[in-house]
Amino acid sequence: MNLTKRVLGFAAVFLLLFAFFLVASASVSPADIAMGLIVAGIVAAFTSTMVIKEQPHKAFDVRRWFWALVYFLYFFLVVEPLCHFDVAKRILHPKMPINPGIVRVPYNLKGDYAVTMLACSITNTPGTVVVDLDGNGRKFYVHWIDVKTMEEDECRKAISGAFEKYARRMFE
Amino acid sequence: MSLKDAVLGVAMAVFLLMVSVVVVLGGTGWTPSTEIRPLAKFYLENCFNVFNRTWWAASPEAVTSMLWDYRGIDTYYETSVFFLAVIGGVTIFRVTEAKLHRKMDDVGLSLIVKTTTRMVFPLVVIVSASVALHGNLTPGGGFQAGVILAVGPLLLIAAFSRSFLEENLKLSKDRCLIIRSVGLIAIALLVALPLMAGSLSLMQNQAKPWSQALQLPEAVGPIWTSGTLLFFNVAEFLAVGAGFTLLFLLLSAPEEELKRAIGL
Repeated sequence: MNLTKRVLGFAAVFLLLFAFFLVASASVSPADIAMGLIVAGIVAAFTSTMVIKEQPHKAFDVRRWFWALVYFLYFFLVVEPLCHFDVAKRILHPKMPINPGIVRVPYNLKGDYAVTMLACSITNTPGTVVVDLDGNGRKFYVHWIDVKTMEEDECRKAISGAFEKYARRMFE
Repeated sequence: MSLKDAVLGVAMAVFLLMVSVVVVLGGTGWTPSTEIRPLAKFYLENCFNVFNRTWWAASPEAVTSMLWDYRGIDTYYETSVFFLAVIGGVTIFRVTEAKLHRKMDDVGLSLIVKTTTRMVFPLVVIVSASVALHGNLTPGGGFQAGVILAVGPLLLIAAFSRSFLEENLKLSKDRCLIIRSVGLIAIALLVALPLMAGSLSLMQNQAKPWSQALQLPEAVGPIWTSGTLLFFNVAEFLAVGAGFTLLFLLLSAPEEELKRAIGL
């Protein structure tokens, strides 16, 4: 990694850690800002290449943050509650209408963060859990509470299609 | 839902209710009174009494005040005991760095766990630093923060491998020992501070009626340090964090390698 990349990576991690220090301390007093700058500087110096391996300029791309915001608002506040409701209904229903099984879901992403975000999104959605991944074959093994199809592309459309679009816009 | 489930649910609810009644009625034995006893009253009134600084410790955190000021010597010995425990551990696993080293590439948990851990690790360190630096103001302190700090390396060992820790963060067994020693030397210097200023007391934070020794100011610029308390906490934080990391490094060494290195 050349110098510019190193500096950019450090800056991105530093800003994140500084903000996180203020949140963890629940304070923006001058003392906390001073301590936060020092601590974030030291920790970022040690960990920035571990957190950001390549292409640190992505962290400063406003469009990626915009899509992250849209992702958060839409999936966390709209889609997820609906899925919660669906799973709760299945649990409380006297007949417990579930049809569980593990299906293969292909994905077409390269970066570590993109793949991880996709997997975490699937797991975070009630009703589906990623139980394993095949990195070389680019497939997730997903436990699905109500298996509607075993066909890989159909599964992809039903389970991960929407997330994949956002993962690509945010991280790829 | 079958009848059995329903009965089980009601039974559990009744059981919890009964246990709560027993606890509320005092069935678990003597419960501490809500009245403040004289000893507690002394500390609560004095630890941050800005109007009468005769007995104060310059810290609103009564627990930290006792820990590092009123009964600081006790904490000092506790830290020494933990250090001896670490030394004991190192002695039992008497291995040199070179003998333990083994190249491991494609090891560890899945990509998802690894990526998340890469992201979470610095955040754990930040939280631990925040706990250490606010130990004189809010609950927490050096030891607690050190334990949180050690969670970071533990996560890396679990998700990647111990050689990842040694190669990416340069955190080897010997480095941990050095960090731990630096923390302990800092504590020892702070303990001896009043002694160096010509007073016959050790471990003095703020001056007390029986000894008017040198004292550090209660704040440095905007940062409220409570005299020596913040520095004690930071030193203890480094010592405990590095101590636990060292033990995790030793415990995570593969057994066969360890046996070979010891000569079994």
